[in-house]
Amino acid sequence: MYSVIPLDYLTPEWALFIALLIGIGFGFILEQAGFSSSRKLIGIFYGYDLLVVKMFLTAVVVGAIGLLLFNTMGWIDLNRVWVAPLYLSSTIVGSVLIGIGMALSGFCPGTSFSAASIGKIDAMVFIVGIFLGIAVFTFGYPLWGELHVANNLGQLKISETLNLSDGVFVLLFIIIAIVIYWIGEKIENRFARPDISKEL
Amino acid sequence: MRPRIFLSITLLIFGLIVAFKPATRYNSLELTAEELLNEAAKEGNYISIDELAHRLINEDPSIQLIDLRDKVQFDNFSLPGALNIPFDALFEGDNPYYINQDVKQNIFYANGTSIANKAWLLSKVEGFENNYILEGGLNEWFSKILLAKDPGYEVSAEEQELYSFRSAVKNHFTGGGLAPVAAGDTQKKSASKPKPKKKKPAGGGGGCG
Repeated sequence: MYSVIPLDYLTPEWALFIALLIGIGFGFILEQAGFSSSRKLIGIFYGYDLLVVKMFLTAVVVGAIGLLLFNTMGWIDLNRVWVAPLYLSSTIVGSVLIGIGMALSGFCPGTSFSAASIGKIDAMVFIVGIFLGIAVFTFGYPLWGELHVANNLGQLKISETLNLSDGVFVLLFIIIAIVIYWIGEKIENRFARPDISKEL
Repeated sequence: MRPRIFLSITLLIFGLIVAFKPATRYNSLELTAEELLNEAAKEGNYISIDELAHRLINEDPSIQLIDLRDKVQFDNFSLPGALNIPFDALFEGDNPYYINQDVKQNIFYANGTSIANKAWLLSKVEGFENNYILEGGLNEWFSKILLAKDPGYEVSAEEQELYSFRSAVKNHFTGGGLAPVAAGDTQKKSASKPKPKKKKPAGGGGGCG
């Protein structure tokens, strides 16, 4: 069976080049969608702009549907798709830290690069912060090394844990996502602020 | 119609399609029945006892013997350098790492050939390569090598030569005595864990965008 890009025909160098093209396209779309504005990202913490939540949910849903349909058509083999192992402790701690970082700065790693590319100085400072954080994590690893790999629950899939098929779980997730979109609209109306995007 | 309602309905339709499509357990590495039969018919899957003896005496590092019998039988007697992976636990724990690798040639053996054949078929279905079967199993090893009888003089030169070779093998493994050397001494040294053939990660998740 074949994959969309047959792996045998793709050398690692070509794979990197295609990754570069995909990355450029991704950054471009991020910027055009307005994610290079730190105010958009802060919006989820203050409730006036839940675009990030909607973007994430849409990306997950489209990706999940795509993977399942491609698997049916034989374009990819889901058994060979790597599922990241769940390290529960470090996931919780890391999520809290990234949430604090996002709330303080209004950026996350990906959007900071697309913002820096259009000349935003606060995004460039954020990027310096990324590398400082990497350095602190690396050199301080003896202190949190144990926490980093604690509670390894293995390569869990929620559908397997709930004893559902992948397709049924994706359908449930779509329904949950639509409910969240609807709730999000209500929250945005409640906490609305004047649109200042013209002034940016 | 508002775009959001249109998008929601579209996603729901796709969700219903993936939820209720027939479940296909698609495995790109799995062989079809026809391919499996073709693979099974190939002669290169078997290793004769003479060839194995030759490689063991030369301490060929590229082979790994896998004893499919239970632990009691394994502790009683096993071939030098063999790993014990009971047939019932073939895919449990770390065992798949030994069977699914591209470093050594695994040679399955048991008392006869049928269990080794089954193990080979199961591993082939999963798409594992580099697995072979010891033709005749330990029964043949015992009867043709360890208990080899002099065929006498009224046989061809080839048969005489084969008997000489097998006697030499017997002397090599039994030290000239009748009892085979105990299993435990050599197997621990050669049974180092091969590099697991894990799926490569697609690259880290990275940020929220």
